[in-house]
Amino acid sequence: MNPDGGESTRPLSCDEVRSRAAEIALAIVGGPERSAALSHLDCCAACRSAVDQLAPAADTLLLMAGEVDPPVGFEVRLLERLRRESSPQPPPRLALRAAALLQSRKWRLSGAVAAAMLAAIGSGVAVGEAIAPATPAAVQGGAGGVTGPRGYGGSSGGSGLANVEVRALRSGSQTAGEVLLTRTTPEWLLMSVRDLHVSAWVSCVVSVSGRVVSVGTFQLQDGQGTWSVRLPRSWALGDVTDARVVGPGGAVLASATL
Amino acid sequence: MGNPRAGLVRNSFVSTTAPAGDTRSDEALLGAMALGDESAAVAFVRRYQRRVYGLALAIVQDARTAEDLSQEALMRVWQHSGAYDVRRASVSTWVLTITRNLCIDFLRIRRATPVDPEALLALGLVSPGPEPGELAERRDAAAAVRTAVANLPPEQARALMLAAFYGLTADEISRRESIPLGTAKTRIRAALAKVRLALAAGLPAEGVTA
Ligand SMILES: [Zn+2]
Repeated sequence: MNPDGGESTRPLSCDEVRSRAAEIALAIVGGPERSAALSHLDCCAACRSAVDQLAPAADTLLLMAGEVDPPVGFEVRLLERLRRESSPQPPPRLALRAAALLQSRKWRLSGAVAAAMLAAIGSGVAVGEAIAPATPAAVQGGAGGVTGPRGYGGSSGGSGLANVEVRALRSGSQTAGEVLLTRTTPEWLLMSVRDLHVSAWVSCVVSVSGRVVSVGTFQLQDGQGTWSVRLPRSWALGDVTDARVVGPGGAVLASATL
Repeated sequence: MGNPRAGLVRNSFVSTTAPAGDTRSDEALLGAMALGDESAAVAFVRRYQRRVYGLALAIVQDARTAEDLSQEALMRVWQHSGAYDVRRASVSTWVLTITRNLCIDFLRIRRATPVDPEALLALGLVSPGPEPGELAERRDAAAAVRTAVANLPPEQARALMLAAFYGLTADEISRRESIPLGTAKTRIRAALAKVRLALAAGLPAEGVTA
């Protein structure tokens, strides 16, 4: 909620977390201490259960406020605003083009090409220019197409790719596309979805530092769609641990672990 | 899988009429809202506006500001309707938490002093008329938590209200109440533990030891 500016935090012990369980449940632990508490809860089931026991009571307190009729016209004003703002936000143009290129090549990209493209996104250079000279190399990285999880950023990664991660988007046992995350500041997340057999607006939801956050919505047509977003600058590298495509009813249609 | 709502887009709402008493669950309404179904948005707003506005008004104590913040809260609910995660919280908790957080941010930006928590304790004491099913249940839950808090020692109730409604940290509460930090933490901890036990047992908080 209130990301600290990268301040390093001391890990908290179980005793420290337990003594703050009420404050954590009430969401009044702030700043670095909150991050430390959340990371502890992430990997300590006993402390998590201590906080979970208190959370419903903390939530129920808000019911004390009771129900009050809002001023006349409230509903009309709200629904007007909802209609006005209901056009989806287009992703930044460059990122869109990059994503379209990635999609058109079905990820048969050499590391160098992907790096050039992502550098272009970061620097504002037109993607088309950055990518064109490298085209012959484009299939070198995987002539058969990348169909499984593939970490360009891994030790086998090519030049300049320490900061790009590509993972398969899984729907059950099937591959339903790819997710690409730049390990840059800010991070970019590109999602390429196929074979999901739905035409609908879906949300891209990520887990970041133990929270689940929607980073945007995009449209799938005939199960396909490509989309990208720049993640908040305040998120630290490595904070995003997974990405999911969430359908209109809240069901997770596909997911990738990052 | 074949989605019956295929082709709907957000910027072309399909319906402008909402049935008077939409019987869809909160979760179903959120899902339909994410798809751009305006009737779902209308039904959701009707279902939640009194709760959202009531909470905002309780925290900021100003009708105009409460309206602005309530509208913003419901806009955010709509914008994030596709990301709601049923495993993490009930829809009602999710919506009220969004509202609370917006109000707290507003107060912090304005550096506004929270109103006296006693005012919160006096809230919602108008006796409700006989109401059908779900509404009655909600009022029962509200009444139960009010009773639980009313039965706390006053200094614990205050600390709990300052934390839950105004998002004050233990440190801020200790300064506001001119008490040591440790005392503030103890009050918060004891108060929440008692409320939890009272709610679990359906008893007033004084009847239990935490
Ligand atoms: Zn622990």
